[in-house]
Amino acid sequence: MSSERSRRSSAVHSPSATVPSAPPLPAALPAPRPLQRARDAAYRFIGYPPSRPSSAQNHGEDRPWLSGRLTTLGATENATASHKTGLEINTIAVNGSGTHVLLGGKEIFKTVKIENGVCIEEINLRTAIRSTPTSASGRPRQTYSIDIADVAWAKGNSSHFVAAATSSGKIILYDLGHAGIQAAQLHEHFRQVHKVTFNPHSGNLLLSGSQDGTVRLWDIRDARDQASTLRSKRKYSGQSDGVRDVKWSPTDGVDFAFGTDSGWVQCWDMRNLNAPKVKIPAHALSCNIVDWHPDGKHLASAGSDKTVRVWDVSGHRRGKASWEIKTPYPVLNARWRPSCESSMPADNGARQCTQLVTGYDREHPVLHLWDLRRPALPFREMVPYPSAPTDLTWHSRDLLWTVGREGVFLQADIQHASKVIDKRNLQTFDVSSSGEVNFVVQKLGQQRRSQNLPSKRNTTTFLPGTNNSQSTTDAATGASIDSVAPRSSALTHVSRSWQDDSLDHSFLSIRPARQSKRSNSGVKAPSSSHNPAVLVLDHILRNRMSFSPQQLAVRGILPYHVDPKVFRFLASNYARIPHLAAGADEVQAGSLIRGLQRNHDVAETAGLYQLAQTWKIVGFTAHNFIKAGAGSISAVASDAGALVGGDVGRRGVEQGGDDGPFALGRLLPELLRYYTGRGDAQTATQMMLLLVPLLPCSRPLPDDVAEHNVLAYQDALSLAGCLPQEIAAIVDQHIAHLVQKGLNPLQVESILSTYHEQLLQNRLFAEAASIRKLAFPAFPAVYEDYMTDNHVHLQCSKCGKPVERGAEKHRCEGGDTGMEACPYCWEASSPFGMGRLMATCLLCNHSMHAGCSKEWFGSGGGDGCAVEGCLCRCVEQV
Amino acid sequence: MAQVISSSAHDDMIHDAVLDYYGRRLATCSSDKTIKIFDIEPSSTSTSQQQAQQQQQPDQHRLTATLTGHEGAVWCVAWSHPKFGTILASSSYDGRILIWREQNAQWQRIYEFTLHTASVNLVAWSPAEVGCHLAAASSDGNVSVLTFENNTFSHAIFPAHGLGVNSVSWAPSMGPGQLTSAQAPGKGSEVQRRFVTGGSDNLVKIWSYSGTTQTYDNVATLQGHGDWVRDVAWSPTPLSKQYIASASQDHTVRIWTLPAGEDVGNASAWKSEELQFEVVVWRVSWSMAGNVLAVAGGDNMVSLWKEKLRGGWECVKTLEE
Repeated sequence: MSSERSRRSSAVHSPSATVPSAPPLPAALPAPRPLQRARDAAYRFIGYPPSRPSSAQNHGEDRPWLSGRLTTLGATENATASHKTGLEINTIAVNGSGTHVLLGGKEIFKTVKIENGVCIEEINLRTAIRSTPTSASGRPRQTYSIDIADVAWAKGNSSHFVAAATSSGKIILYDLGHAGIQAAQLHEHFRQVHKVTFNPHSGNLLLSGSQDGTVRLWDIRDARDQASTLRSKRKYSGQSDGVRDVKWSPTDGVDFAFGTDSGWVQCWDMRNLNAPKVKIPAHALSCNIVDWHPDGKHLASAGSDKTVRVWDVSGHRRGKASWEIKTPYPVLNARWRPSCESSMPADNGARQCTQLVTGYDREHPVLHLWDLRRPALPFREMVPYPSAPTDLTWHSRDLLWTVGREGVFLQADIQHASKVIDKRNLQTFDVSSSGEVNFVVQKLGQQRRSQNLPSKRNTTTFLPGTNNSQSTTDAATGASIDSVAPRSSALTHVSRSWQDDSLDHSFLSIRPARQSKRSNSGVKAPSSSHNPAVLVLDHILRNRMSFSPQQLAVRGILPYHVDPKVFRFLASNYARIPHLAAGADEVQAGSLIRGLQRNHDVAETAGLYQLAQTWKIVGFTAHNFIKAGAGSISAVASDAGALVGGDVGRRGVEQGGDDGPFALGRLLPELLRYYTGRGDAQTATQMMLLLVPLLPCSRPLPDDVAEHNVLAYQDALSLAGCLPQEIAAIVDQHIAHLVQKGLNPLQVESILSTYHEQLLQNRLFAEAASIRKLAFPAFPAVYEDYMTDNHVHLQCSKCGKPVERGAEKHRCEGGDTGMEACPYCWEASSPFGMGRLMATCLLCNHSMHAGCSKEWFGSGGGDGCAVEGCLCRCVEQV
Repeated sequence: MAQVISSSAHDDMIHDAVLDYYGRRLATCSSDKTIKIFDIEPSSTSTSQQQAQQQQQPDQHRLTATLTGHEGAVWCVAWSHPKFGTILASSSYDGRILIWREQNAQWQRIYEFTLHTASVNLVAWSPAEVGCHLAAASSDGNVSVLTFENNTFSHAIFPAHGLGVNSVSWAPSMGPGQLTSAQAPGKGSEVQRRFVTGGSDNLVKIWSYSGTTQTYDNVATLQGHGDWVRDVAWSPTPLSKQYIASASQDHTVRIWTLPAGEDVGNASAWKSEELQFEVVVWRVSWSMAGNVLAVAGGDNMVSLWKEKLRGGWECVKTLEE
């Protein structure tokens, strides 16, 4: 691979070898001219040497400071810095050593030095241009405003040059040593130039992509001799639509890629003018940005169709994106995050990069940092400005530089951007009707020790161990930043428990507080020169999907909830009461008393002794009440209260103490209040059903309450479709006596419907049906859902479609009504077996599941049709 | 007491796991953009007394369906009441709400709601008595209510919390206020469509549907939390007082109580009691009977709270991991 690369790089320096048409490039710097002195002064000012060696053999690490967190930056320190200009900034470019930034916009064009979080304005090119009357060629300068769409900073030997692309189609080259004078004007594009970029290996090669559908290659070394007549070296065209973005390959000095308005992505070898190496229909809408993965094999493209796609452009996979991220908004900008050292021991310190930052259209100011390992949601997000940033670039692994319409240059520390996952609830639980609880939590992980403890490593230099690292360090380039990590601090390093490349913690860390544990300095010092290569993206993503969520799901019974088994047992064994009668004669009273006794036994069997005692007291009270006629039972009740210390019993008895004959009448509301407060609709229902018939009609509700109730029911019933005389009858028969007995019918209804709901949830359909029957017709809330849509119940014997109600022939009449649900279980197939088979009563035309019907009639619970309101006795009791 | 389920079948983190009405099916959703449906097959199906006293054997989970369609992490799933059919709603980071229905053992996507511009954090079905409505809370600050009627969906969408809505919870259809108060104006059995939302603006808001204007109106705003409100839960019991629990990033849970007979819209009538925690509180949930409050916090503890007879709340039990 390296031989291949050197072949390619040599090709860069002698393109004439392969492409004869190109003029030979100057082999050496021209002799110093008078201008040189001023330029050198500028170099000293800006802080880098005039003769930086070519970084062509730099193996793609053209910006060495990208490799880690800056040493001067404390790990917990937030390296955020900003520079306000007050003028709308369109674009940003960083110089070869990462110390300076070039800002460009309609009314701004200047360089800013960023050091230790302090931004200092250096060269204001715009002012210089305005104050210089002549152009480099000596002719008087035209007065025009330059609307800069993109800027680029040349690299290597040419790093004192900057290029600005303008909306007019001109590219203007400036020499920072002579800020006021255009070094050259490149004017071949006839429409707006969207992007300009310098080759990272041969810093003098400039590519420009324009709306006119061409990409042109320029060599700015020619600018010295032919400032006014600089022509492009190459022109790459062949597509009809505008070029939105163009980027050089980071690894291969001759490859570049661009994206177009119609969504195509093309990769070219700059020596081949005829056809692209790869041409991909990447996006449905325009492709706004392309960015090479540091491995040089993959290319990310992003577009207005709200997707980021990663392509393998090495030629092995065609047609299909290797990975895809769906973004919430149209993407206007995307950049891979600089690679960092892999924490996997097997990688031997190789570098990996799986993260990508995206910026969106103007209305969506948020920036997202995505990780391809978890493409479903962004890893981090930040909102630097009120409107979307116009341009962004990574300074280093943690520092993101952005500019925006608000005129602010911002250096943001991505480690301090909030994690999207932190805004999520990371636990879930759900309580089912039967009191089962189901919850999923993050496993409190054993804190995974980071694999690359810096203290284990020979933390010598911050720079990647490339051949020319020494010379780069020697260079004055931002020495204060690219300094050597102090060995002493390396010893005090603790594990960075949340470094961004160890996925589990960074993504699943549920305690943001952990962040404070970030080790001091936190330099991810790449180990010196033993494996600086960037891992190929598929290697990371395909082979490392060993990630498993550290989660734990637990199911169990919620304590303090009614045990569903007990509930079912009670529900099926409690005395059945056929209806909520107004009064009771001798025989009925006897059966009610027996019912109370039975309930006591049942509660005792279930081990609910307090409840059993309550039943006993109630039964005792009721028994005495009946025996004594309307006689005094308060004394008895008091005795009973003294016998058992039950909370409930005492409450009722205390109430009964002062007003003898109505003790029972007071007892019941008290009991109801107690049980409803506990949410125990079961006991409340049973109490009510057994005691209401016994109550004397002597404790009516206050008139206004009664009136309100009656009105409420009249409304409800008329809504349910009852005739006025029916309503009157219902109110008379079913509601009036409750009011007379001091019970609020609305409360009765709510208790019944809650109990009904609970029965259904516990799949006690027979019991639920009996409650519905009991509630009919007075309490629509309980039964009305089960009344609707029950009228189609014959299945056409010919086509299997349902037959309309009342149809004489068992044939369908072309109706396309769907099969109605079983009125018993409301499920598609019967929970009692026999599947979906329906059984229909031929008398009333109501049908239900055969299995449910067996349960309903067979268990003895049901007499008559299961459909409420139907008085048909479908099955004669034997 | 608990059974630990270790294999989730998902490729990524599970965000929600919900049991259906009968507790027989489990729907889970995950960052891997899928929803999975599990049948829970109990070891014993009989409800007889002998069985009840037997030792509980672990239930079996059988994966029956995997639903794909979301383009982002799926945050929340919710089962509708079975009387409307086997319907599942899901909400995702991609800003969409999808409604799924099972018919003839086949899952189909029957509706897609795309009007939210940011992540939809939570969806919740209304109590069956008020109809088939789905409320959704989104990070774009809006709440939407989808109504499924006559086989079509209609929707209402309105801003609720400027900084994002985190949670929504429906009130029980029949308010206890009307059970005991004769003064309550209007028809007693009028079904009420109310819900409560919690947002990133630290507020808890109560919304009520107005039949005359056909809109959801903010009837009360409850202030008190000092940080994001993560979750809200309206106690489902219609039998006694009204309770709303709200969990917040500020390490507290507040239980808002409305005495019987008071108007829901009267914000000053809601009295709150604060439960202190050491960590961020993620979730609150009431038991079905509405008398036990379960609280889950960042320390992986679930604590259960009951109201004392004399008033006040006590922690009755904590469960850990």
